[in-house]
Amino acid sequence: MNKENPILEIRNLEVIYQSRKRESKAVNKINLVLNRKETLGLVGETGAGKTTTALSILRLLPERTARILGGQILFDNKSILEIGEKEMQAIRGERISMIFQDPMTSLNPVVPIGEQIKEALVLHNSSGRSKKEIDDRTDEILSLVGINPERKSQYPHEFSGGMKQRVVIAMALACSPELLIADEPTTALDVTIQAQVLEMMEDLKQRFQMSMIIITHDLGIVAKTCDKVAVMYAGEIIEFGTFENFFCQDNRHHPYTVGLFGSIPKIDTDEERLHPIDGLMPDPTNLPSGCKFHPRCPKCMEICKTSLPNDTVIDGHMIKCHLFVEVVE
Amino acid sequence: MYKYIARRLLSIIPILLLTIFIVFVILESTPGDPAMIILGRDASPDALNALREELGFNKPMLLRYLDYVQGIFTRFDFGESYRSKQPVFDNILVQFPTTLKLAIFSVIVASIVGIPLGIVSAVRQYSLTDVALTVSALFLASIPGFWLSLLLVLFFSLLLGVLPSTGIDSWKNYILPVATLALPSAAILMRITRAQMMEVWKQDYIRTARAKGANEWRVITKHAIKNALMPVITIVGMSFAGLLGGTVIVELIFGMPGLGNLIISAIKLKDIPIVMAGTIFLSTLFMLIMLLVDLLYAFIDPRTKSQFKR
Repeated sequence: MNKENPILEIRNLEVIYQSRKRESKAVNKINLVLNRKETLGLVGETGAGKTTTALSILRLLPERTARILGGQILFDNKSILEIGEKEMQAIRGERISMIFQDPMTSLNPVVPIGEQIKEALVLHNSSGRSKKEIDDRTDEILSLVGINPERKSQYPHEFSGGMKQRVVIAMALACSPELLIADEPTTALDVTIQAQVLEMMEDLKQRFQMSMIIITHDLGIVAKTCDKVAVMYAGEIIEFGTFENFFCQDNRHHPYTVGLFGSIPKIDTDEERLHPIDGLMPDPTNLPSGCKFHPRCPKCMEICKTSLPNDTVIDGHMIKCHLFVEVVE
Repeated sequence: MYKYIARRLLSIIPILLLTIFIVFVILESTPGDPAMIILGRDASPDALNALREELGFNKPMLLRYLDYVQGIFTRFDFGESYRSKQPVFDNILVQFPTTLKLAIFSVIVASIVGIPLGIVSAVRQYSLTDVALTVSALFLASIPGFWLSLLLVLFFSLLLGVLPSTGIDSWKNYILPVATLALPSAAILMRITRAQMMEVWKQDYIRTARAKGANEWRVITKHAIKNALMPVITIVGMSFAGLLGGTVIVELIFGMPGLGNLIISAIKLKDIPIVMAGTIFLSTLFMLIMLLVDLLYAFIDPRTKSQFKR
């Protein structure tokens, strides 16, 4: 594919939340590149800034509290932070879609699910489809996600959690978007259903030739679906690389990533306890100096406490850690 | 659904029986002898006694209550007015339309003014518009009706002379009374709509709608209103039902021969059949309206509908 033309590029994005006199730094100057047809896994703990990043791409951050301080988001080479609201509405739902975290609350309880799926098609009907064609497309997309089209006049409360998630996915896919952002698409689901939904998404991604960003804290999901991985911590991307960088060549990793992998319980070894990463995510209103991870880092050095490490890139594998600075130099 | 309606309609009967009993007790414990009020102070004791016997006042209260209830259920007989000697419903039905018109117009005006302003207020939360609307709503909601009506009369009838202050001769007569009744209701409706709308505005499905590319107008009309309006409808129904019995002050001030006026004068004159029948009439209406409101829910919220199937 055309490597020169990524579908999405985020440059130095900086987002804060303001409430009264407190200021939370949610996203701190992150950079990301996503090529066409690629799947990017955005990994991190709750509060790392994953969802904020996703909402910035759609420009759906809470209006009153959130503020984008700086940076650029280029979607298909167009700077979408600068375009007007009307133009953005034309992109939302048609070219970029999002699957939200909780299928229980992201469907409108008083609108039949068929109507909710159809809405995206009606709103983005530039090709002038007839009513019948839109209805047919709604049926088609419902069948695609494994819901009988006859159920389209039913309301969300008549569906189970897994089925609701399928409806949410159908809604996002209705217009065959170029970029799909899935925010923890399986977190609210049973483990048994998780696999089904993931498989279905992978299948649909192939069919629609979509690019995808999957936000998750589950490394298993990442291993199953992603081409590239970005690990976020305290609003920064601290490691970025390909699937191989993370899961095959087990050589260099950010200590936080090592911790994340370490915290996955293993069934083949005889361990009594889980291995969580000690400590808590830092308070976003009062981030530590230097490397944001240093208070929890097992390999913390003096320099980590005072100076923010630069991005160290080795063959496209980026690690933001002082440990690896010398390796390159 | 039909089962539900039938059950609700049947449940009106015991509630009415209780209502009638309570009003009976209240009337019994208020001073004043109906016989003396009808015949006048200087009537002879024999005549008074004869009339009491005729009206049944020599019987104990409980027996009279049973007689009265029996009359209603077997003969649909609510008695005659002591004063006009006509069946009570002749009186009530003559005066009710005025009250009904007042209540209907007031509720419509209150809804048309209150609900959209509430929505605007919520969507433009904490803006200048919102603050201005909130302050004026608070002001209107706290003004007593009699004072507001007097101010309106002072301004529009006396000072400008554009609107009549008494009577029911033309539609113009209704403007000031309706304004008096509607403005405080509108203020309350606005506050409730605003609160509901703000709650809905935070919901995930609103963000989902935006993510589909819906614009502000569509998000409000297609997704938010239906969810926000349910409690508002209850309030509209209740204020309508409340207005049917609560227009008294306005009727008195604007000299309108409505139901409130009729019942008040009947209470003063101890015209017990009118008071009783008026109370029964109003409480039945109240219950029917509330039933209607609950049924309306089913059309708006599919989750309620499934409950009716039980």
